[in-house]
Amino acid sequence: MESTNKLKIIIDHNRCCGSTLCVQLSPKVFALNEEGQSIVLDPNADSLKAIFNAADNCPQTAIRVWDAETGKSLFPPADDEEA
Amino acid sequence: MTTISDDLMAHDVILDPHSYYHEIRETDPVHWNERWGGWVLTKYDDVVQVLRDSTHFSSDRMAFLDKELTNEQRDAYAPIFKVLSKWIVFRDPPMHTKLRLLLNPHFTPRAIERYRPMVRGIVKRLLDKLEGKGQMELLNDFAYQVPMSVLLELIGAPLVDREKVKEWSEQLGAFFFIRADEPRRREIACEGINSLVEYLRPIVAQRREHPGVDLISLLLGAEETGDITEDDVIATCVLLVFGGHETTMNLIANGTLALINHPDQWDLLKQNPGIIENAIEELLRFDGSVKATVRWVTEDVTVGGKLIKKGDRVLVSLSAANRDPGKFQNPDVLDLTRDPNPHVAFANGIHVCLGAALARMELQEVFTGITQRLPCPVLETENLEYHATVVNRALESLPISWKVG
Repeated sequence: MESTNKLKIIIDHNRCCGSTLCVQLSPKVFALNEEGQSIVLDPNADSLKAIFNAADNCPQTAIRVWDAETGKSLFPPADDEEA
Repeated sequence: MTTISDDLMAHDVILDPHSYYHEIRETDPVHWNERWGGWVLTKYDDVVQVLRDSTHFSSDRMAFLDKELTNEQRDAYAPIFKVLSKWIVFRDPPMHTKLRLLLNPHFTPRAIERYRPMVRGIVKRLLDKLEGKGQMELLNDFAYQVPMSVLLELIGAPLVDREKVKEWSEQLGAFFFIRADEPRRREIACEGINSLVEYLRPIVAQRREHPGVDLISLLLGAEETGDITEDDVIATCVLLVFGGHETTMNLIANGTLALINHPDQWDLLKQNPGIIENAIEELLRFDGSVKATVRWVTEDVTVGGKLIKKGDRVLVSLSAANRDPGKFQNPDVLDLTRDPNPHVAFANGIHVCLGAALARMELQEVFTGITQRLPCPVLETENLEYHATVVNRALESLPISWKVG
């Protein structure tokens, strides 16, 4: 599948608990390293919707997504951020 | 050479598991406990390795227990096994993965936010009632009501039922937490589980008639895929009630006690409510409510340089990992600003606590509420006692008092 996403995805390994949920939900983007924590294979290998769903299902909110070109934060969504 | 005591139920071990686990970690971090009949893991790295490896380490408790039973015992335990064998916590992939993917969207950190106003309201009402009294027994007067109210809302059961649901849930707890030699253990647990199942059945039937957007309706919707049955739905509801209430209640009590013992940290949180997220992570690390979890070995595997054989069982100590000086600086110091804090209080790997985000939110509301409303309390007993279990870190009671006015 062709993708036009230009994303930056960072996984915080102080948070990632190896639930593997992101790998189940978007296996082209996420994989496990030797420690059983998630890593990014290719941030543009799946639809935005699938990537957001994977990030959203992380029990630890370990996945953050940005627009790689503008640097705008895409996940977690801005409306979540309370003062 | 010092000998490690293998009595996990010894009074001093129950009172202070942290010192006991420090001793094991220092002398024999992958320790064969002859008395318990399995390995005890106390190092952070070993604990995480096992929790993240569901290939070598099974969670299918019922399958392994079943092998040890006589036919007579098997019949006697049938009502319990029928429900517990369907619990996601005791399942391995691929069924575990299916259930987890089905349940997880309901329990994500963002999904859980919808319950925050409700929890804030419960905490406020409880404190309105208690504040002027100057004293309470924290577990019964306060701590249990928060999680139980949310869980009943989650399954769409009326709040007035919380006393009886709590009682049945505690009866079921006998199966896990009472000493195996307690003669009525099985009877009590059967009573509890049968009551819960009979209580839930009409609620599930009603939801089948009138589906909504609630958790039970969602689970029933998945029946069509052929992956789950009504028994799975009921078993899952029993698990949510059982797994969600006592653990959270104990976290509230353990956290309160930790703050009473560190009044500077109570004041720090009171003056800086913005640190609540880190504060809760630290309370979880410092004295979580689940001391350990058990896995069964499916193939020979090496942990911490030792060969662990197929068929062995492993006690994975979350409390010990959370106090490992190899991972945490000054692990016995309570520091509410600790960051990062990669504790394993909710375990790790595929079985990481489904309700973690819910528990975190409840704890954030509870500890913001009590530190803002009350001055740092004092203990009203010199003899704190904990329930004698290998798995739970559970105070028997926590009587406290504070200055009024």
